[in-house]
Amino acid sequence: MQYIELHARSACSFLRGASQPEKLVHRAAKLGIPAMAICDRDGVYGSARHFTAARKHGGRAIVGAELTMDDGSVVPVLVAEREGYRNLCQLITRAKLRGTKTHAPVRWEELAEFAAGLVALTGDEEGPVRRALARNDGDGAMASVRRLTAAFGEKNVYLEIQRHLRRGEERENDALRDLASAAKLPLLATNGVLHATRAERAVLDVFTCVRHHTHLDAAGRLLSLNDERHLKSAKRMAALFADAPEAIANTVRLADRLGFVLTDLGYSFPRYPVPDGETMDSHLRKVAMAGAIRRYTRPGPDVLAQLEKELALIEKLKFSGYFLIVWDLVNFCKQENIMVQGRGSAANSVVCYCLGITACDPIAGKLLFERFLTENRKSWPDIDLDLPSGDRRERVIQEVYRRYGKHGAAMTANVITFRGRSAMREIGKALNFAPDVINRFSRLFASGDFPHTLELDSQLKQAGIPVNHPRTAAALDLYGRIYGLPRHLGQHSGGMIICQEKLSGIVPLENASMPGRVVAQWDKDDCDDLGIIKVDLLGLGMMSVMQDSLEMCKARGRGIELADIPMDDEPTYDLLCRADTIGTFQVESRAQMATLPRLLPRKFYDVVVEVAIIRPGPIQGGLVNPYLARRTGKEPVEYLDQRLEEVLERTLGVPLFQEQLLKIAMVMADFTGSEAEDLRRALSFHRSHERMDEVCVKLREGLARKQVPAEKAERIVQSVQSFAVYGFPESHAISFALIAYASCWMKVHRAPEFYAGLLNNQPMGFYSPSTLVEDARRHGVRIRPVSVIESDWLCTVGGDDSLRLGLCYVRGLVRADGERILGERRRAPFASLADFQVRAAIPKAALRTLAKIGAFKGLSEHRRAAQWQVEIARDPEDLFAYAQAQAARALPLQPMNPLERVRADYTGTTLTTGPHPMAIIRERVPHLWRAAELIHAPNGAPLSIGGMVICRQRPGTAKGVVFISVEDETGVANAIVYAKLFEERRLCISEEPFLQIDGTLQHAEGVTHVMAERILPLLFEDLATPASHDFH
Amino acid sequence: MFAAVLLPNFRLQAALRFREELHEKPVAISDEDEAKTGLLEVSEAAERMGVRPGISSPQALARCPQLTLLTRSRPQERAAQAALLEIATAFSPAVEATADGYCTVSLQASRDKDWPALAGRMVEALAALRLSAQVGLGPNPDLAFLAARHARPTLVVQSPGAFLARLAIHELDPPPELLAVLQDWGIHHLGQLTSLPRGELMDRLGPEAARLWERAAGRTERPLRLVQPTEEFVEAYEFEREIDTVEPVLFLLRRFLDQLALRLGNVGRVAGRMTLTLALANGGAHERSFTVPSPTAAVDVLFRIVHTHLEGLRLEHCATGLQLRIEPALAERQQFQLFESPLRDPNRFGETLGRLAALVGPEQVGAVEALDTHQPGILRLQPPRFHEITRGAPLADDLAVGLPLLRYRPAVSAQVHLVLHRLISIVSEKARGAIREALGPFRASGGWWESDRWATEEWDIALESGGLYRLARAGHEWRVEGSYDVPAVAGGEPAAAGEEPGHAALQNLIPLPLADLKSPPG
Repeated sequence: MQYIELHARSACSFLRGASQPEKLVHRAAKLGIPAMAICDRDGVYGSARHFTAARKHGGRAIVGAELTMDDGSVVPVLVAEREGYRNLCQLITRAKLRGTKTHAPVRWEELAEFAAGLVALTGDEEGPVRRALARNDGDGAMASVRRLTAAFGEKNVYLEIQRHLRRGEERENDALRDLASAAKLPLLATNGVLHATRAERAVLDVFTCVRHHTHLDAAGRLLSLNDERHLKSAKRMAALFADAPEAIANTVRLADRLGFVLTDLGYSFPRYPVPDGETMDSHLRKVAMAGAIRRYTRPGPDVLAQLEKELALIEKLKFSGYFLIVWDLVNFCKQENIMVQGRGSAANSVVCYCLGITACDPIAGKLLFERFLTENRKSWPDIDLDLPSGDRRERVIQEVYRRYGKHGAAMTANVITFRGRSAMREIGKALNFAPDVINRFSRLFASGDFPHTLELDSQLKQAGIPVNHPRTAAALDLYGRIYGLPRHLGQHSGGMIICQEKLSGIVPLENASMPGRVVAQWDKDDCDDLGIIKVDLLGLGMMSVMQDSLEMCKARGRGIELADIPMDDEPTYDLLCRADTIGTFQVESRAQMATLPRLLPRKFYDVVVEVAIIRPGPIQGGLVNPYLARRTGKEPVEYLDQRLEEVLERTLGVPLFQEQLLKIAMVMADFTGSEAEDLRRALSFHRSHERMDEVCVKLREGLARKQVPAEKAERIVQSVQSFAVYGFPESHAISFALIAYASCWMKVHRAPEFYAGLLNNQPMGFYSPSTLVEDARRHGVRIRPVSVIESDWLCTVGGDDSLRLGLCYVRGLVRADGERILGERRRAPFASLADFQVRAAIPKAALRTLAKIGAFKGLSEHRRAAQWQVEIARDPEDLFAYAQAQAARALPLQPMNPLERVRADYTGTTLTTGPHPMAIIRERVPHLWRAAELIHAPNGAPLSIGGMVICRQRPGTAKGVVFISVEDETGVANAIVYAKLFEERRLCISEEPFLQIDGTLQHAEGVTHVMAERILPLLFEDLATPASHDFH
Repeated sequence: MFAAVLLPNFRLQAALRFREELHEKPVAISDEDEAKTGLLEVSEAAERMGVRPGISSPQALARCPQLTLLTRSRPQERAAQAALLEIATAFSPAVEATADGYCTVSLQASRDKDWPALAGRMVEALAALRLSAQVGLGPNPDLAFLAARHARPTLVVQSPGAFLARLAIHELDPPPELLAVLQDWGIHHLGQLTSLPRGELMDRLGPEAARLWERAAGRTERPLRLVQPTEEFVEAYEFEREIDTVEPVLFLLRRFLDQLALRLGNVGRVAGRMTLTLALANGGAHERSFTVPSPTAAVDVLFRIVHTHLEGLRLEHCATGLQLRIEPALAERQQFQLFESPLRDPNRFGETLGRLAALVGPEQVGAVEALDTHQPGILRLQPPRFHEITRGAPLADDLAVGLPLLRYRPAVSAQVHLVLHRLISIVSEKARGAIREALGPFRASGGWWESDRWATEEWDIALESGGLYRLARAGHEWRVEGSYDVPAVAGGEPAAAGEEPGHAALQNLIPLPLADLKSPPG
């Protein structure tokens, strides 16, 4: 006998199911169940993953959803045909866009409107029928059945019957049988599956606790009665329903009716409106040719040939509309003065270059077009647009919504999953651990979710839960099960999908938390799997910085366009070579700074390599050192195989880019275009290693077929596998390198504007404003403090190349108050502090902060004088009081000393324009070496460094090694801490704002650092500190 | 003259009162919500290792890995506070208690003017209660308070001006906002504060600042806000030697009750609840609370309640101390309702329950309460709430499903013969014979997160010979959990031959709600 499970919920029901769709599919395949319906709550969140997994296992993924109705009951519906799917998506969209994030029920009366093509079940204990029976309301149960049949038609409603070995359920089942025969409806057996196997019942119980804000000890009968709601085989289901075989047989009959699969989505990308007499293909050709003339003035035969080749392929694949729409969006950005640059593999296309979508010439760069588009390509090409983060990017997103409507465009989802911290936080709460224990556990995750060297049980122990604690075993088990399960739906940072028809008929849409945003129920991988095209509108902080800085340059009469920045500027390469890159794009991390003096970039392509090489892929693949050794001539350039010389020539025989791996597979294993495409997708996916493993099997087979020696084959496979972690395509590296180089050029030649741009776009990058200010000073930029007489809201550059901090840096001063200050100042300069108080009328707290940080300089004698003055309440209508306040009185407060000023600066603005805190306390720590002096210390010398911790980094690729940067009044000193010492001093390292690090000095290839042997806190309780940027 | 008695690190002290092993160790205490507040208090040993109040516990552990972290205990704090007030009131009836771990005593009427000696005696008295105190004496309450903060362990302020000038401003506990402004101004000591012109200070920071200025100048005089005598009536005694018979305890209890009844009578109260605590030689304590069923101040009634308990009490350790605490209540006036008959004499009923408890153990006596769990048959005995006993209290809905089950406690071991998973026959003390019909299994499980996880698999069976039983299986072991009480209306007339009476009975067994039993169809 066959059985089809037609009512299962996956973990994509967010806390209402305990197993991933893939796990359910895997289990179903193991049990011999040929098809299954996943009915996630109020959505089709898991359907795409279900479909992909089922396709792989040869099973059938039936689409369904549980609908929460306005009376609180839950009706499962199953999709029979495409119209039904469209109806389901639109019904859910309507409810979701009408309701709130947590409450968006479907109205009973609107069911009929969307019922075509759908089949309804009567549901489980939350269904309308069983809810009525539980109230002993037989009439109500029958009324619910009638309501469903009225909406869906008698042939499309099934009475669902379940057996979970629960006392009392036979009474209900008898009543359901009676109802079925009275209403002439077929019985349908389901197991109301909530988890794939018995063991995951524990996860479900924890989720129940999370939903009800309680813990396991108090949850009582909210928890599951037993573990019976797992996937069961046909044999077991048949045995359970031995008295109702028709209920089992009906599952197969119904499943046969449910013919819809997600390949029948009917998605099409919007058509671009072209002038009369034009087709999209002809129009694209025209604008591309016009662009070619603009780009190349006189395009040579190579350009024209490539252009022709690409256009022909684009026409063949019917992608012309897509290119035109992206082109149009780029034009919108340009019209609106929003900096835009295409990234990703689009940079390999000369069409994209001619359309102005990308900025680098793929012909000159010899980029591989096939990485972007091939005839065998199954999915749409990626064209990602980098935009300045913040308001400017939001304007572009809103323009897309404006063009395609609320039902026509959406952000792709980003499914937020349980990670280390969040998983254990919820588990800890459910297991009723004390809040301080959970907090301690979370704090021990200082390295985020990078694989770290602290074992889970040790981490629990350090948090206060010993190994022999009665609940430790449960915590450890749950952690493994819950890690990675969906928690809630977020939105992707920039991925947008659009559709020719209503997008809400393709995938349900819902309101995002951000006002004005609509998000689809699928993430970008799901959309990719199902052929839905997405345009990534990504926000880059550095794009904002560049745009702001360039505008400031223009305003100051020394303007330059991004495209006009010379690419061969010696001082810029000098800066890169000495790793003086704090604040720049992509090359400012500790790892990058440690590599720059070894790589010594002297031309643009070196920057491209630098950007690409410090990535998990090349690092884990062990490719960094060979490349650097070959570059410096310490190692000869040789190729794994002479056939690869052309592919790897530019990177000295070492594969650094994704394209190179594709080429290697094509050359060495005879990968077809389609197989290379699979490999590209496997490299792009980070959801599972499974795809990667599958491709590697093919690769091995191919290599064996071509009789590549085993050792060589293994090295090739290893290189490919390492790129599965994360590696850059060359085009992407070029796009990033352009911005990276430009940011370095700005730092050298337009330092005041560059730092002002950086400070105005915080938070971003690796370093805090305090560190950026120190760095600016070391580069000769004079930093002036906040002043109510001089400052604008944002940081500005003065005529003498000094940088004036903006009012935005005053803690507690809101924008409206800041604007009022500026407005009054424009009306007339402030005559006195009292005049300021009366006219600016800002709250006392902000006034105090302004006084404390010295922002009234010019209006008062010193900070303390201002502090004494601002406490007097000013009534603008009390002339005598005003006059009295003007009368000079002896000031009883002493001026601030340097230490007090630093403290006030940090607490009031998070940074100081005065002396560095370490300069002030230097006398107390005479044994510490200054950062700038380290270069003079002999290699191998034991010494101590110390200062304010500005950065703690623990890259996932560094085998637990932590890089700490401490800043003093002379610069930044770097230390390397091995995992063992880190674990011993973990809390000291992650918690203390000032550290002393004892160790051995190492100078190697232009890089100086201290190998830490002992780490101590530097306790200066009289100093406040800014927050450091940790653990990137 | 005023004495201020301060228990420094009060919350830590309260938590450590009975944990001498930690007295010299680095210890810190935090609130339940440590993430927001940081550490509340730290021991001297911890402070020497760089641990400070206010820092987070991870930061504290970073500085001192051997640090013991405790969470504050409010009951222990209340007990310590009560002890402090008892000692203070022993020196003067005029006592002010404005904060935990701190009180001010007016010594205006004291005949003893040897202030240092008097302060020393206060410290000693508190030390006897395992509390370490600092006692400061000064001409006004605020000065006394400041003196207490600096006392090691006692300090009598002779020259207020000089004493005050060097004190940090936060010692006057100004409002946080005011303190922040003053610190921003660079005003850190009281001497600096009093050097500011008072009028201008008030113009800027308001009357609160002016009051602070007055206090900093030592000029405040204020009456104490006296605490009312506590409404907790406690008598205690520590035996000189270990006691191993009940007579001395009974003798003292009778005297205690005479005194307490008199004090209760003075304030028009009666005893609502009594707590008897016997300190034991092993350092532990035996404590038992008695609800006085009908609150009274009658010594005989109260004595009988504790006497009944002590009669049956067997302790493994000798008693070293005795405490009786009475929680007062208003005398009750109750009129019986016409159609209701609550307990005629709740005290006698309570005494009866007490005697039963003495015979069968206190854990075997009480009112049944079902627990919120799927685990079948799990009930808890609660002390009876005498005045809530009414007739016809509805059962929970889920308890009202099915036939009444007469549960065997403990369940009876059984041997069940199965053929192809079908239950064929049973042999047990309670049920024996061929099984006509069986329903099940019914499965429930829970507590998977603990070592005492549970799982049950139950069956309901009808025997050929009649009788309905509930069976449970754990592994290969079977038990008879109980028998169903089948009223005539449930099964109707005995089934005729060939009608499978057992099955008919089982059909009724599960589906029939209690309501159906009361009014059978037809």
